[in-house]
Amino acid sequence: MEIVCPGGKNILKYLLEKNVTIDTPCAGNGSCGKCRIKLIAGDLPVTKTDKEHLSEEELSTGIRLACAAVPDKPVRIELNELGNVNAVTLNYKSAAYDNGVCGIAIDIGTTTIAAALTETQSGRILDVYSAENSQRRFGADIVTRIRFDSLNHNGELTNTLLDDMVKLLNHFAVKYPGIRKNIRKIVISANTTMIHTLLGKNTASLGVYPFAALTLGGEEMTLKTLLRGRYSAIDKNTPVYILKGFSAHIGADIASGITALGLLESDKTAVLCDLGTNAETVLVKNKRIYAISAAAGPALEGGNISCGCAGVDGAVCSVKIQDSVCTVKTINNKPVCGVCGTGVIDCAAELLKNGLVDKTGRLHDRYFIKGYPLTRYTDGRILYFTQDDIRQLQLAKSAVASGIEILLKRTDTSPEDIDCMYIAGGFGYYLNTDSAAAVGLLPRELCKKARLVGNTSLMGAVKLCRERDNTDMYNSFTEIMLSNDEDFNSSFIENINFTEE
Amino acid sequence: MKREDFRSLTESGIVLLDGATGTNLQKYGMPSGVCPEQWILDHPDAITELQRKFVSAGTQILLAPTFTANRIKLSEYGLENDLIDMNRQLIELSKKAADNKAYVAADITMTGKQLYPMGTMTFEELVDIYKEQAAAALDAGADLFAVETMMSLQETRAAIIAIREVCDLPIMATLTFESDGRTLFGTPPECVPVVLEGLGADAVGINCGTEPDMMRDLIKRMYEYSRIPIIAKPNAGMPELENGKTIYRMTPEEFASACSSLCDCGAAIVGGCCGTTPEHIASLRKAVEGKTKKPVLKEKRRVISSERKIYEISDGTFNVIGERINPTGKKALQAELREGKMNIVRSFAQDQEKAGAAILDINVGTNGIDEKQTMLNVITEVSEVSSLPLCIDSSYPEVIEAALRIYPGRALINSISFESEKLSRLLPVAKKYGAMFIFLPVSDEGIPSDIKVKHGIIEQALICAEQAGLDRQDIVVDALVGTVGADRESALKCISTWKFCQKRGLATVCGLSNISFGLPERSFVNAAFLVMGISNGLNLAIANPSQELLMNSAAAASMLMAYENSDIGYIKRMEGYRERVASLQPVSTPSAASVGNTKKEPDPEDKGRLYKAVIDGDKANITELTKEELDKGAAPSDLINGQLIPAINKVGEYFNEKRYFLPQLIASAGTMEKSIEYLTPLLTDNGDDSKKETIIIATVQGDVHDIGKNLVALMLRNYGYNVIDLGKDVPADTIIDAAIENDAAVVALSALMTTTMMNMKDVVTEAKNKGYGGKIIIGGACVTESFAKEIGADGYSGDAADCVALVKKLLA
Ligand code: B12
Ligand code: FES
Repeated sequence: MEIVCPGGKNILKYLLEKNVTIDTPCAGNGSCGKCRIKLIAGDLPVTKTDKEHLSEEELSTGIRLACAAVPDKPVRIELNELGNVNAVTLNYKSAAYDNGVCGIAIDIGTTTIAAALTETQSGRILDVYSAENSQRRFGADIVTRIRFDSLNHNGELTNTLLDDMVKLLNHFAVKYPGIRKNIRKIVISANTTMIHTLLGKNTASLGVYPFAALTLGGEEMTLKTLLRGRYSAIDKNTPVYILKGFSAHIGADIASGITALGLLESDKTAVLCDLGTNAETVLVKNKRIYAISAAAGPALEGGNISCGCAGVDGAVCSVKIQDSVCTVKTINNKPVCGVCGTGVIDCAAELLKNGLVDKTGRLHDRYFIKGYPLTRYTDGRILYFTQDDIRQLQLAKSAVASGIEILLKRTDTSPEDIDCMYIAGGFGYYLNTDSAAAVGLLPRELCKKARLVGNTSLMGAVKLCRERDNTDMYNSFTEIMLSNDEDFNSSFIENINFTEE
Repeated sequence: MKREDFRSLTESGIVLLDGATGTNLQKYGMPSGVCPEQWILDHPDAITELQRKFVSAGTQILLAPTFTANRIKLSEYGLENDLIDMNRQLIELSKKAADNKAYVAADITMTGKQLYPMGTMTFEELVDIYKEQAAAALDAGADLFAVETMMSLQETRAAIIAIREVCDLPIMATLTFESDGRTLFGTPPECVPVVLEGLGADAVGINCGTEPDMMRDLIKRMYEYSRIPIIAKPNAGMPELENGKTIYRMTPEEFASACSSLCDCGAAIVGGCCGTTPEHIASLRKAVEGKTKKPVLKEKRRVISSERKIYEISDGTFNVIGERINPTGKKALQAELREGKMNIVRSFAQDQEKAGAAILDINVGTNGIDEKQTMLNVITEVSEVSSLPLCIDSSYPEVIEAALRIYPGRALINSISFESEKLSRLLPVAKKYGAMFIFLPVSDEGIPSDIKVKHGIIEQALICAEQAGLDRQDIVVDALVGTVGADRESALKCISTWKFCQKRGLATVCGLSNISFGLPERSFVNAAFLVMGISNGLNLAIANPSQELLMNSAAAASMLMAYENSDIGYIKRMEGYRERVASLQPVSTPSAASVGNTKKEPDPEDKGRLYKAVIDGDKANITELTKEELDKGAAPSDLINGQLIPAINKVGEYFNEKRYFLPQLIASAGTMEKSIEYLTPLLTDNGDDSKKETIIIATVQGDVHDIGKNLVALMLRNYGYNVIDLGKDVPADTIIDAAIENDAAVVALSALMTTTMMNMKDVVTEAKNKGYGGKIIIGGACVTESFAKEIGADGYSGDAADCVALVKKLLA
């Protein structure tokens, strides 16, 4: 779309004010080079940041980076708006609401917010809701948002999130006018950083070692206190319960997942892995919980990838290469707009299978320079999967694989001992586990036992709308710190390579 | 001057305007940075002389130097209270210079302040600002108005509305175009006459911005859509910078001939902008004297427009008005409008445009909202995200009026009926804002069931419209579709009304879905009805453009009717259709099997066995190989300089190109390290110049990512530097203390998180405080070159191989 921006104001800031979201993975830090816009009319001098990320040719056609652009006078620019992320919520049969007592379960994810309206008596889910976390415009990943918060100290993250909460509550209230006075409990599950921003706490300490959390959750309060004076259609005295997490990196969302799957109530040995920018992985063994957090980086969510995008409509989500013909499938069969995480993994797996990428991750000579042509955009341009994209995937998959390797090693567990691996999270839901095993993201042995379970954080919150949580859980928890682990670095380097089948 | 006088002046031949004011006054010594109006009043002789020269060169209309004499601009110089006086004096100066041999136009331009939503100024505030200046100019005796150098169509509208609310003098309005053929704010030339003529402009055109030749196409496009004369006032060429001064190179003769060819494109009023002198105008006069001008087109076209795009409802076209922005029966949209949110509205607008709608209907009627305010908000919002012209849909005349006033284009009103109150209230509104309207043949007695009565009402309405100063081209008739359930012949009746209208030159529209009410699988009935409509000349339908069946049938029917370009329209639509339904898009690539596997190509610069071992990362055999080479008699320093260093350089290159990745780089560097370890004790001490500087390296406090840092350290060691690695999570003072103690030449810092990179700055500060004199370099995935500059570090590199080059450079 085209938009006119006023003089004297940073273009990215102006777009934020206008609620026009473009891709800004580094939230205006000037390091990602993704916030591209095109100058159509007026003047926008080339900045230093532009020069770092853009080629001469791009600059001469008017491409600039929004986060560094401040025009003197109004300018007319062209940009690509970011689409909505397809959120995974829960499977449920919709049922008519008969004015009974209800609870609202909420999962605040870094990318999406999901909620379920559930009937307290029967435990039935009446309806679900999902929307993008509006904080996304302050950065795609958590650390970038923490940095934004610590640089600005203006409560912007909290305000944005509370506005999202109001929107969510009003959504249900408008749809089911009867629930306004019938909500008995609101249960919120979220990672530790989201809980900080929800409660208006300073996130600065979460951004640097040793990652001291000011709270892990566990708060109870009224809706009125939570919303800090915002108006919502739900009774303001409704009790709100915020689930408790384990540590700065292993948050309430994971605790909620353990509850949802009843892992502690079973004698089985199980792994729960929440794949995303960070792969939080827990092993439950002999009623004890062991966890790691592996910082995979944005590649699994399509960030860092030249043609990458989030799981939006039109993102390539699966790839097949057969007899030299490459066919792709896009989310909701919409016109191609980029490749999302599952597409990245699929693509790498297929290239490996067809001998187009070698064990070190190097593309076949034929494609080395430009990349492998995956498909076409509607305007006929070819979408290339490049050498650098493979390199980014290698870093990400190695971080996850090495994290799991260390987790098993430190707990004396072998893959054979594990009864089931649950893969949670929006991204995990669409994962092709064969491809995941082929690229070495997850151990092949475990992939055979994998179950894609969707949003377990929300599932747990739904469960806790009726039950109290198991506080014993917090006493049987051990976190294995990868950053201090003596073997992690060498595993990480080793696992960057692909293994031959 | 009356508007009729202006018209007859332009009918009598090509009218000559004046040339530049600003660039000429600079020659009289006007410095930059002063308030031009004040300077002119302080030096009245300059303008008088200049304008006299213009008049004797042939200028028929002089522009008084009141260009920026509006409240906002004057207040920048603290002169806002002198506004009335200044306008009066400036116009009097021009009248004196004109000496009754030329008309004097009051000159008005942009205020420099931006309108909401881009800025904070409301439309009404701007109208008031222009009204104030217009009233002052009127009192001072201006003959007419020139609104010029406008970059925004909306601000031009504000000026014209303001002037029209003050007086009935003629108005000339010109906009400035960019090299992409649109104004800065995105308006193409054809939108200008379409929008401004109806508002009461007497001539429209282009000034400034471009040289004459670049205006040709723009003037042609304006002319095609205009029933008022076109103005061209180009610069004397493109501005060029010479010795820090802006100059315009076109000579009077070149300018005159280029300008006179603009008259062949349709310009009827010509003059010059920046860089044009009285000589340019004199030449221009000669060039156009006796030239027959293209007559202004008489026939009105049925065109509506947004700020960025026109849509012509011509016979031989069919298109859809997207109906989705209407809260009736849409709970989510209702809730959003009540909350004042616009997300759904925005996405409806964008989706419908993508799906192929030509116009968007805007209806916000729902309970619990202020309909007027909501309508204004929605129009602002939709105008931003979509370039389609809008159809303003409300049952309240005051909502329609408010909407037309702020809509930055020419809208279609939905709708005006024959009910006496509506008709008398809304026809003047349509006239004032120059809108088109949908006419509903409903009278005070209700919907006529007899078709003859219906047609009678249409005839009557046409007469009323003409009396109100509107034309038949401003009307789109809605045939009022009844359901087939109630009347089996209702489709046939529609056909007869469409034919009736077509004969009378009236455009037609219909709301589709009513026809099938109560029937199963309504979409087929709707599609069939639509095709019947198109084959009987229906121009528009109000429908949901995301219905594939409907839109595809319409595209096919238009093609079968042999409408212009409709075949291409159909083909294009089908391409999109295939994409929308098809999920698989194969791309064929050459097969891998035929080319064999990826192999490391033989390195043409193979320098020996150690070289090869480092390239291959052969850590296991390197010590053995080193021994063998030494046994063969090679000198240790030759092995290092002749094989190991070239090899690691090559590896660095491979890594840079992404041919090698971390495991390969680390294996190679580790292999080399082992060989060096073996060779170092054997190096002869006397050639001590090989001893290199000390480098302190660390990952900064708060960060424990050290893989990159370790790699950098390894590489630097291989190149012979004395590297002291302080590890990870190291506080600033520890780093600087170590650097001073070891007399380090370089401090190398690594950080991988956006939250910890700021700690690098602390190290730089610490270095200053403690007087550390060496260099500080930084790196790590989140760090950038400009960040390094920002915090005052001496160097940055993106990877370990480049880091070696960086250190070499800094220490050279
Ligand atoms: C491996 C890894 C880890 C390992 C680190 C092991 C270790 N001992 O180093 C573990 C798992 C422990 C880890 C932990 C964390 N990580 Co981590 N991690 C990564 C990962 C996957 C790869 C980083 C890496 O080693 N790259 C390879 C090396 C070689 O590259 P490099 O360091 O950039 O170095 C090169 C150049 O930059 C340059 N260079 C480097 N240093 C220097 C110095 C100088 C002077 C010069 C000239 C050049 C130079 O040369 C090198 C070679 O060419 C990235 C994600 C990714 N895909 O990039 C995330 C990432 C860096 N981690 C991240 C985060 C958030 C964390 C955690 C906070 C999260 C968590 N949940 O645990 C913790 C905290 C750790 C801490 N306190 O520092 C984020 C940072 C996000 C941001 N916006 O800042 C990333 C980007 C992932 C993400 N979430 O997006 N992580
Ligand atoms: S460079 Fe990342 S947002 Fe601009």
